Amino acid sequence: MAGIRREHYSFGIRRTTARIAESEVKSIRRSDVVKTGLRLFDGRSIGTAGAIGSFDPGELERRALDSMSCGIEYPWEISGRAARREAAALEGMGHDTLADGAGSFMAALHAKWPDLVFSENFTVEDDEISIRNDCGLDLATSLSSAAVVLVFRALGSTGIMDGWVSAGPCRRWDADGIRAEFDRFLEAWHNPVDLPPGGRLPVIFQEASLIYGKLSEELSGHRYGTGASLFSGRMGERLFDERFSLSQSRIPSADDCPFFDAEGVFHEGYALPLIEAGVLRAVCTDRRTAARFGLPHTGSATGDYDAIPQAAADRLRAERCDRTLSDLLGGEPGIFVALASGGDFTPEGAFATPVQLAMLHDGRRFVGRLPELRISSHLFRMLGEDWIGQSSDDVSAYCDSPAMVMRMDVEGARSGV
Amino acid sequence: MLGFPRGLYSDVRIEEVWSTTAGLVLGRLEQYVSRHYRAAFIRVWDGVRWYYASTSSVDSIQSELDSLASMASRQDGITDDPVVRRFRGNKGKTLLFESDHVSDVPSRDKLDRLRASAEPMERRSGLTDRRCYYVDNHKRKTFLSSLGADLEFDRQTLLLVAAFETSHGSSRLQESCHVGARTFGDLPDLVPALENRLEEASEFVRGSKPVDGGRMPVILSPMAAGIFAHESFGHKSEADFMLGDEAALAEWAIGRPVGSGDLNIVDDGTVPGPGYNAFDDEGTASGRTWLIRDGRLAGRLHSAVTAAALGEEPTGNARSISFEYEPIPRMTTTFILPGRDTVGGLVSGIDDGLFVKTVKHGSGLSTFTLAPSMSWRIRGGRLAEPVGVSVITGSVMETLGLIDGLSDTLDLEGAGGGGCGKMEQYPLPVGFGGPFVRVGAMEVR
Repeated sequence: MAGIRREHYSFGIRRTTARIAESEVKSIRRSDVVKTGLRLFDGRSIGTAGAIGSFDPGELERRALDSMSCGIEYPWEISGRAARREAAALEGMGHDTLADGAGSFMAALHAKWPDLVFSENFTVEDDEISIRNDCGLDLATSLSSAAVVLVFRALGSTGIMDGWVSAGPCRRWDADGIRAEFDRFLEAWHNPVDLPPGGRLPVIFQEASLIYGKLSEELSGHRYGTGASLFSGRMGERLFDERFSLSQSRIPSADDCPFFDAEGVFHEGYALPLIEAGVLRAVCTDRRTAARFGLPHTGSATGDYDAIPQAAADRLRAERCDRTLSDLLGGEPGIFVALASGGDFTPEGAFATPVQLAMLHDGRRFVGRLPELRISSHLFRMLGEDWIGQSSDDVSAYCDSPAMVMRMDVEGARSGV
Repeated sequence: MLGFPRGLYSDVRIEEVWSTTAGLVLGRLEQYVSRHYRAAFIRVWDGVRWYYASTSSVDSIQSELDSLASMASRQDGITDDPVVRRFRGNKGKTLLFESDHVSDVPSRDKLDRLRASAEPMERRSGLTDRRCYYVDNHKRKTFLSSLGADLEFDRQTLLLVAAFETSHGSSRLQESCHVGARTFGDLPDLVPALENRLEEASEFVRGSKPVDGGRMPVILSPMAAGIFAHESFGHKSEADFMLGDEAALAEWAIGRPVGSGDLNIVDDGTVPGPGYNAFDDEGTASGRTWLIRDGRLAGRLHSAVTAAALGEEPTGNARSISFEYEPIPRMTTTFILPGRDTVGGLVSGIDDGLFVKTVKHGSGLSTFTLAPSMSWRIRGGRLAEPVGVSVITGSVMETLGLIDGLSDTLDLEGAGGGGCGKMEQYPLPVGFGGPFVRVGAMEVR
């Protein structure tokens, strides 16, 4: 049809999973699914439709036209005239070797730690994400990786889980190295230690989903624009410590994601600074949010294969400093947060969470398992006056895992409030 | 007609899904997704290991089945396998929504309902953000097995959700409310509930101050009590976590005291709502499982595998989130049964405590947590000022024993627009709820 632009947004996922239960491989699961979305644009509106597996192009187009009749506004130019492909390959593990590899890994792990029951999975995954349109856009990312996540319980424990170990997504599978790293963690887990005195201690996050989740909310262009964000109206102001910088990062090999957003927008270097030296520089927008609130368009659209793109402040990554974790701790004991479930920030930024599994870390290695504890602070203190830094080195050699370190209020779970 | 491989147990679950998601943001339509697809999950069991495949090509089911069988080791006595003996080979059709199918409702009607539902937010000043969603889902499953199971059953849910944010000075509040139904015609009007929630939120945010935390008695609303039951005890009732651990089995022996004598918790897949299923994803009929009866451990949630391992029977709780995953033990609708107290009586018995009305999320490991949204202090047996609370925590087993009051009413909530997560499988639609529950002491921060 004249005047209609077409865009295809597709996810192809081929995944093999070895499921672990009772410390053994109990099942092998394989899936190979392609999900295709068609978007139609007429200069005023957008319509979408999607299909899983093979599809009839005419039927898909008819459904997208039906969707367009809902009248969802989209008066913006779509991306065009760009062709690029990025790939990250996997070495040392494949779909056909996963079951045997997982089996021998678990046999050795179980022999070493017969007092623990392991469950969860090993996976090998090939992803192909692409966006193409009739304005000349042709972007694709291919990602292959292997990963292992093992939850463990001590025999006789009354809990659902007592801890977990993981590696990946890896581009090079090194079973012996991963198992040796797991052994070092589990040796420390078997060594109960007391909570160091002091009350305000350096706390180490490896996977800071709780903190990134709050930053993601507050860096949403939509929330910023409506005034709902804690950062609203503070563009260009220093919000945090000058040693804290944060980007939205889409580097395929490091971030395990496509280098483009759901509207086919990408930045050279695949990273967009949001906070530089503590100063708010940008909030995350797609075309709609940028136009609605008069904000710079940052290429931060996300969405399922058949959904209408929406802005999201995802893929956040704090900048590493030039100091190792050992340097950052400066001889103080660090409280490594291994499992913290159920805590949250209040809308005003206050933070508290129980830590179901905390480990004592001396900057170079895990020392022992701490009793259950609680940590609390406030967003502006955590990344402001109490920010210590994001390490130059990784906690794990088998995933991108710099240590995020900040001073927080720490108290034993059994102490009074 | 499928040819099931000999010497193996195998089954096939075909899912046909229709769904719609429409969203208004700041009063404008910004999302409309309509889906329809068929896909399948195939399983083969050789007595030692399961082999699974998911495919979006239902024409390839036979070849997938044959391929999985080639990986397995055939066993002459597979029908005597303890897992296989727990499959029932059920047959029949339980199609409840053929004449009220969401795909028969014109998109215009759905959008009209959505716009009308958002009206109270459009009329109100002082909201910093506002969103409203209409979500429907019809899933029709066909289940076939090498034991002769031949089932067709369906489930259907509809949901209207309004979410908003309001602030007063430095005090901020994100709140939501929802209504649900199983047919479009039965979908309740969201407007009255939303107007109440808006008014309540406005009063809350104007008067709320950070709580002076401590250990205190807490009354949980049915929503909060439902999340508490789900997180604190429901997940511990999923039997897969205790496989391979004789000591844990001894610790979790049926009949063991686990709570106060008045406490009863059940899981029931037959309750209409998001947790409803006529059959689970391995063909076992749904039913009611008592988890705690009169304060004692009464049962647990099983798949065929966990039931065989523990020498018990399947409970119809083997569920998966979609055709891409295998069924594992999951909750359906989990709730605390009501008691004999009035709500007023529960409140009047507390001199200094907390009432939790709405909750953002919860979790349950050795320590459970609830993250409240709207809470009020109780002083001198009456509701007093609104307070902001980060988190409520406690030891699961200790807290179950501290329940000292249950209202005589029962309110079953759905999971709203979210659902239950268990490792890689999220979100699974579940129901939860209960009466108003008084707990003698919880940690409030």
